[in-house]
Amino acid sequence: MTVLRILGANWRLLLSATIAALIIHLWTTLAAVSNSDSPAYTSLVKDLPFNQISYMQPVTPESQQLPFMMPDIRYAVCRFDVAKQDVRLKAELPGPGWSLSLHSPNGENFLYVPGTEDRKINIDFTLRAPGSVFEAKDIRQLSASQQAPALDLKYTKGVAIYRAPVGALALRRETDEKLNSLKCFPVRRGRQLG
Amino acid sequence: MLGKANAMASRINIPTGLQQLRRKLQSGLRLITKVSVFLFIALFGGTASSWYAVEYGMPFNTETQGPWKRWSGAGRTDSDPYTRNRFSAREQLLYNANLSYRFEATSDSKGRLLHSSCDYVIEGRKINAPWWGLAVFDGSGRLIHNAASRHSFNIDTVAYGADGSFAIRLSREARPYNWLPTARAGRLIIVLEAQSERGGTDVLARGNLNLPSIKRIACR
Repeated sequence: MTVLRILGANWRLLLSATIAALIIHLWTTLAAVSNSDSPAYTSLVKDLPFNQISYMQPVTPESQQLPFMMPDIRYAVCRFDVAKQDVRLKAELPGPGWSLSLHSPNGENFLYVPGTEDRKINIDFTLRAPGSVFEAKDIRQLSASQQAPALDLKYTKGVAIYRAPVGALALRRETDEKLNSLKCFPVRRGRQLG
Repeated sequence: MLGKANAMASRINIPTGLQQLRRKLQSGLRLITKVSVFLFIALFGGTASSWYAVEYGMPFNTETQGPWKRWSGAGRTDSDPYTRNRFSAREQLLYNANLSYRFEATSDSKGRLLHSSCDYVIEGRKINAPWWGLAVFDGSGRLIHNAASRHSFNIDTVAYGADGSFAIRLSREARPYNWLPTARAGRLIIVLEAQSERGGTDVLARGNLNLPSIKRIACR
């Protein structure tokens, strides 16, 4: 009863403090959201060359580049920059667990193509500089018959991550060989360079 | 003389100097208390609630299934500020949550925090996804160093029982079959990634993934 009486007597104070708390909550949350590059992206691409494949070390406690990286995945990445030239990306997704994803510098994953059980997926498309907006929410899966020859990106820079699942010991060499199927190279607008 | 004046003043209700001082002190203290309460609620309440929402998620941006939690906006172009802050602070590069499933467990099936001083068993039936992988990390997302170099299992490397079930033991000491060493890592975080074939729609159509339970066996 005493508590209720105190609360009742100070309801204006409590209401204004709650409103102030709400404002601080929103300010704290929104202030931390920045449009700058995500720390994970920056850390991942810092030493990588543009528009060519880089193979990452197997994920171990000693070589783990980012937190929570799955150790039973091998990664190949292509840091792309389409400001001056287009970039051609080719990859094979032989089965489940394999995937190709494109990420913007702020960490958004705007394209994700998973491998399927039914058949091997061959990806071959050209990344182009911003022209039209490419919305990830409309993308579910690019099947062989739906392959887009060119993707108009929202960003000039980003990273393509090719993931290969590491299965049984006997298959690890095969996985490494298939990881080489990722190709990433610059093409001059209108014709291919490499 | 002064005593007489005070007595007279109190009779005719004129506050003495001492009473005035006391009243001023009381009203000052009341003001300080009110300002302190206001600042505490505003500053602590505002920042603590923001931290909690970022760290543990809110009902609108997380999905919970037993001990497993999934941030449904992770990696998406339209993700909410809480999800963005969380994964940005953790330096994680994520895959679009609409298309790839990533679950985290920080506690066992009874809600007790996972810790390397305890042994656990992750039990379940075959997970209904074309591919899945499960790994154990320390509280900051680093793999746990161990002589056996065991950090994860996936759909191809886990040993199944005759009935299609599996059990993965988390323990400091070596265990038979599926064993993930936890050494002296302290707090543990288990991550389960499941890939969907049709961008999530297949699993959603079939209902939830049948995720394993996490049972505590014993603690030291």
